[in-house]
Amino acid sequence: MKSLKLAIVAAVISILASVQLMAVEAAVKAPATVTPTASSAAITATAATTPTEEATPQPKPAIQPQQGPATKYSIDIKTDYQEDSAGQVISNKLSLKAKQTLFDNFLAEADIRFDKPMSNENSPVTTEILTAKFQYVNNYFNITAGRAELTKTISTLNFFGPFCTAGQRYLDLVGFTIPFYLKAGIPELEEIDLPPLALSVYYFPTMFNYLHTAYDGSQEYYLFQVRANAEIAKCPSQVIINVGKSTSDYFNYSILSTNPAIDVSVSTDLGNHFKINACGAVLNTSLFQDTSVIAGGIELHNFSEWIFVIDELIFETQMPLIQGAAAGFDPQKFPWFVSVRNKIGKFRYGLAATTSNNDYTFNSLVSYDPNFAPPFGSGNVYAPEGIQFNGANAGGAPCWYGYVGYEY
Amino acid sequence: MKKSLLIVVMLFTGTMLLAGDESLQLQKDEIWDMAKMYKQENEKRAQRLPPAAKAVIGKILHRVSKKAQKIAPVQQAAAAVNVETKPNVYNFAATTAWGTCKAEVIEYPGKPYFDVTFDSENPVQGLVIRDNSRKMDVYTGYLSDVKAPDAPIRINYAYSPMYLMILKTNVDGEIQPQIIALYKKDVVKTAQ
Repeated sequence: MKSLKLAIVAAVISILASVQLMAVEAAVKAPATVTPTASSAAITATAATTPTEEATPQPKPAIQPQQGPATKYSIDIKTDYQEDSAGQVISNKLSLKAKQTLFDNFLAEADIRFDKPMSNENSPVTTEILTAKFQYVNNYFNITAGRAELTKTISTLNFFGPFCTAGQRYLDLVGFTIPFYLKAGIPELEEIDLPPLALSVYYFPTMFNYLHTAYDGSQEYYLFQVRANAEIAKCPSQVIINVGKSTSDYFNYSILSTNPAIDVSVSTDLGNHFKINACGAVLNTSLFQDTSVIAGGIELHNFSEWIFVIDELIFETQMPLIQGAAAGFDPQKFPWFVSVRNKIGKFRYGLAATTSNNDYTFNSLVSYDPNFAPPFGSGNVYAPEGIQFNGANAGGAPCWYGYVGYEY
Repeated sequence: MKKSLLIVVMLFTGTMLLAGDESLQLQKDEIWDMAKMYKQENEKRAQRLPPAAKAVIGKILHRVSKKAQKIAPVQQAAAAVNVETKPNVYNFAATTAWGTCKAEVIEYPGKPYFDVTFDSENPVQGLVIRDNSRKMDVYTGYLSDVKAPDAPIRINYAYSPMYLMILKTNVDGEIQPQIIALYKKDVVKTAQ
């Protein structure tokens, strides 16, 4: 029994000894000592980097905008009703619009409209070229040439004015615009940045309608504009100052008098929904009291979020500053204009009404020269639809315009 | 009895096979000798070394923050590398004669590209990124009347503090250039 125990002990000791020998052999064969501590540190470092990178806000994948020009075509079909001093008319209008987006600093745009009064005939059709222009847009200035719509370019009002072009909103011109910045205060010590400005100069070969046009340089008109923009009490505000000058003396009570015509319009947008627009002008600075006028109004816009059926409501009125009725020129007091419009998908509709007699426009001008018969141009234009009224109905009743259109 | 005998024989055979030619007694003696030697050496070392002086705890001049203590040196190095590659976001704004426009630049330090995006009051038809120091347009793109792009636009140049962003905006049918200076001296860092 004793020998048995001794044998067991011997066996256990021999097993332990052999295991120890194997461990020593393994240690000798190992190429380098890698401590468990170093190994775990390396793993920790790798693991620590990954979550930090994940925590970094990764931006959305960057895109590459379209390279090259994109020409857009659209067709606009409209049925409208107009009632003014010239009578009533219901017509169908077809507009073809083509526009090449900016490419290599150039842009081209055209808008042609065909107008056919309702009848059982395919004619008569009136063709109008509303816009046909191209632009060169550098990094620092732009040049425009052709027929352009100048509604918001030269005035903040939507219907009355622009006084410095005698109500004309669609004109043939050549012009350029360059932005510039001014500083006030003490140079390099206490400089104050003035609101950003832009200077525009436009040249109109003629301001008359085709019936009275002569390309002899006598009907040229130059318009100089300074535009300023600033945020006042968090409300985007704009000031546009226009000075116009003609080359010949055609009228006393309008812009073509060789004396400067001045038009200052301002606009401020309260809460991005309530815009207040105002304008003051002198058509002939030598007849300041007889040709001064102010106009103003409100423009409620982006309302479709709250009122499904109306997106924009405009109200404007005009007040002549004339002291007394001048010979041959007795402007109307407080004519008004109101319009509502909306767009749902590709459909749009609207309604406009005014009591305006087109004062301060070429439409209401008369000449002492019996051979120089009116009209000389359009009256006030409802710019979004390119519509002008021929004056209020008999008895001063407002004239109306309503439309339904579809553009695709 | 037979079974136990059989086990003993097997163990003994195994032991003999593993142990080689060395006898059990020799191994036993070696183990005991080694144990004695370790014991003696430890006793000698204890006699040789003087007693350790009592540590004096001085005033703490600088305490390492807990946050820093948590990061091992290797981790700190990794974090430093990571900070360099983290994108920086810069915001810019400019008011021009036609309205206000905003720009955002996402810079990737050490990378040869950066991303830009904008938010304009008027629809934008063209975007130009100009290196104003070299008087060279490094990027020209054409857009289709968008007030803000869906995603940032990548500019394949390293971000420099002398870039200009020129937005060619559609202002009531007329295209007007509006410039935003992407100068670093005027930037407001919104994220790092």
